[in-house]
Amino acid sequence: MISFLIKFFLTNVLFSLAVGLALVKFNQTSSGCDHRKRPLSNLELILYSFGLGPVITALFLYFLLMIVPGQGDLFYFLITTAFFLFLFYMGRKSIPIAVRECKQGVASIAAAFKKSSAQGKATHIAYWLLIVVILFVFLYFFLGSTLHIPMEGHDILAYGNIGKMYYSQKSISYELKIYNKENGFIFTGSPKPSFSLLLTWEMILNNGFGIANKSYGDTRAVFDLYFRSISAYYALLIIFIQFLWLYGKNKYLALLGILVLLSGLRFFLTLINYHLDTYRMFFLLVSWVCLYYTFKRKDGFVLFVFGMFSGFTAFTHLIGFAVALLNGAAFGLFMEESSIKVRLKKSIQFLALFLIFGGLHYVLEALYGARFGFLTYFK
Amino acid sequence: MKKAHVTVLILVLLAIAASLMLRQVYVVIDQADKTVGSVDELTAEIGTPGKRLLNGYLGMFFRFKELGNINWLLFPLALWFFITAKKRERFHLALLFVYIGSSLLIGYKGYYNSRYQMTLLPFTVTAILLLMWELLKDYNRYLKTACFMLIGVLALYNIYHYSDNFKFFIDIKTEPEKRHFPDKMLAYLNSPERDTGDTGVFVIDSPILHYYTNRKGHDTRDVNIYHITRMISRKGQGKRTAIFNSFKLSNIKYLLLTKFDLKTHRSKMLEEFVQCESELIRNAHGYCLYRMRDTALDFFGQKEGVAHIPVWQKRKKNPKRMAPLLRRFSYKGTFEFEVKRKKKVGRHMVVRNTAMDKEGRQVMNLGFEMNRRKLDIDIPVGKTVYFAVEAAAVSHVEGAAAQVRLQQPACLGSEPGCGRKGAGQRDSVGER
Repeated sequence: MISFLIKFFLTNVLFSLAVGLALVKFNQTSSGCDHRKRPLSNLELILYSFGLGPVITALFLYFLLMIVPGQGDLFYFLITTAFFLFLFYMGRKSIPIAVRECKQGVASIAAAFKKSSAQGKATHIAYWLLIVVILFVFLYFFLGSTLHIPMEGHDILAYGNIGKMYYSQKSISYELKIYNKENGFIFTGSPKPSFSLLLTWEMILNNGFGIANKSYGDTRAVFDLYFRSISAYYALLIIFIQFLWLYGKNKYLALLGILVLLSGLRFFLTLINYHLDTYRMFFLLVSWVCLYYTFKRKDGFVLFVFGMFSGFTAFTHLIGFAVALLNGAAFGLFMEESSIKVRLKKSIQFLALFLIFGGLHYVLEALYGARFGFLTYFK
Repeated sequence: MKKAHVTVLILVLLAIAASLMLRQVYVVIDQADKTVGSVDELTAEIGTPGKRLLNGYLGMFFRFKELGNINWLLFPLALWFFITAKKRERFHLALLFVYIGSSLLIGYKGYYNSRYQMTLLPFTVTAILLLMWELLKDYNRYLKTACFMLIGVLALYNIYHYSDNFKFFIDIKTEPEKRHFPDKMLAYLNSPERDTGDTGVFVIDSPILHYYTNRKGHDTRDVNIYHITRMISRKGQGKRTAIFNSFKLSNIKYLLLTKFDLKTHRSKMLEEFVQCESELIRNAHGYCLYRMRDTALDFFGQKEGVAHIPVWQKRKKNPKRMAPLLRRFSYKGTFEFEVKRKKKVGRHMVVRNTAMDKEGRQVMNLGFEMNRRKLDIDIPVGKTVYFAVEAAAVSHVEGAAAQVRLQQPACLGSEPGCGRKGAGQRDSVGER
């Protein structure tokens, strides 16, 4: 369990914060007014960044395994960690800005609390206590028992087998079908590598912890605990994002939103099952938030973030690829610039970002891989 | 009438209309799938025309069980949105564009899968609540509260309505003893004392084998065993022994199938092979692990002294009523039977399908004619023996019946306790 917590903290917290701080730095240098009041504030940016640690790790590993295949675990671990240290170095001056904005946020909440009546204070305390209790109860059951149940769904095991294959072969290649000669695993669909690479990353880290990357005969093995936790982690992030957007209108509306979201079995299951649904939904949701912000701010930074999240949306799933293309079309069609030249320039910039942050996979697959594999969805 | 009263009256009428609509939707989506086009439609809960529409194409809005019961509110809110389109900003139109495009794509290509339909759920819920907030912002505080409380009640009702489903998943995910995981089966495959460990397993798209065991899997999609897959996939009776020999040559000793495979693979040859040439050694949580015999079954059938016993179901001289198991498993299979004595009927055989587990065993009462002058085998009362049932012909002609070829010896291969006794001897039938 301790090894899981370390892997989680490293990838989901430290790496995410490194990305977030680097983004805050560029958010500051973009032209604009008071950073707290501008659309896409620093705190909001850091919140969205908590979903970027894993996916940027997967993307970086994707390029490493393609460009420098066949190296040892330590090599990939050091290069990846060095990359995030570099991001952290770039964003180191954002730390005091982020801390200051956090303090200001807490101070404003405290001030509002002090001004309210006794009944208001009691309601406020009860409100937050309810949320904290529900969260802790969920985490208690999730970390205590749910997470220890082995994976057994067909899709998640297929993704897991692909991740194990990447780990054992230390390369990513594009062929007509995925076939592992060692154990006979075949996959004839068109998987997107992003999710599987999270297991590959975990297996690389396991080597450092001395955890055997096998579960032969022992289904209590812990080699894939981090991989199992992805669904619940991104589900909580989605809930948190929805909560914040609705809290801005009314705090009870925010609670209602959570209730409605969890009233259907499918989203509820993402908290306790293992799959990539919330992982891909998170990037789609944030890409649409960023689409909104491209109309509120005209600077290049927002376009960068929009392109990045759209690319990650495509990197995670085929539906995301289609949505990312729709994002680009919507951006090109509805942006307020009347000049065709400016529209074209920004659209090309979006396309470049989309390719860098995940769209490249589809180009390579069409050229060298299961060429028409992605068309299996359009039979 | 005051304007406020009119508003309240309209809202109450709308609420009643909505309740009736919701009730009807629940009736349609909860109905059992009586007519199913395919197993996919059954598992996707779109087996009837109504479910195909509501759970399928419009599933993002009406698939209450999986996605909640308020998404349909997007329709009236979208209508209001279009009515006020002139006041809308460009980002509204951009988001509407991407949402409609995504919904059409998911509705058309992902309608059978609730996971795909869930893709836009967080955005949909947030959009509905924000749009409602905007719509009601100029109205009375109590009206706003009532509207949102109604949403809450709807959400709670949906959880209550499907509480069994919620409870089921909570139980299996929080109570380890209730989980659906075939750990013993996997431990069996990984056990080092099971043969040399390098024998392969035949699978039909079962990634669980590759993930948790060190066995080499031979998938039906593997070109290296295409010749075997082709033989298995043929409808009707085929070359069972040829498949057996091919498996042996490919060093495949086990078959890992799911109950879903056995129901839907529609291969009589696969069923026959599983029945005749393998033995079920593990059956847990939908997975069936079979181990192949050391020697093909037909080898024993060719030995001398094998008796042919006409068999028919239930009543004598009613050959058209072929035993259902015979019909189901291509008339071939390995069954164990015991002989019971009844006063009026005389001896009759109770036959069980050995592939089934103890709780699910099918009991097939077969009447038989035992002509002692012709038979040189005495089947003792109360004894349980094997016999192989082989149909001489797939026929419903009057007077025809399935024929039973009694194996001698009655136990097969190298099973423990197998005693070899020749035909014509009393008490010559071995026991299982």
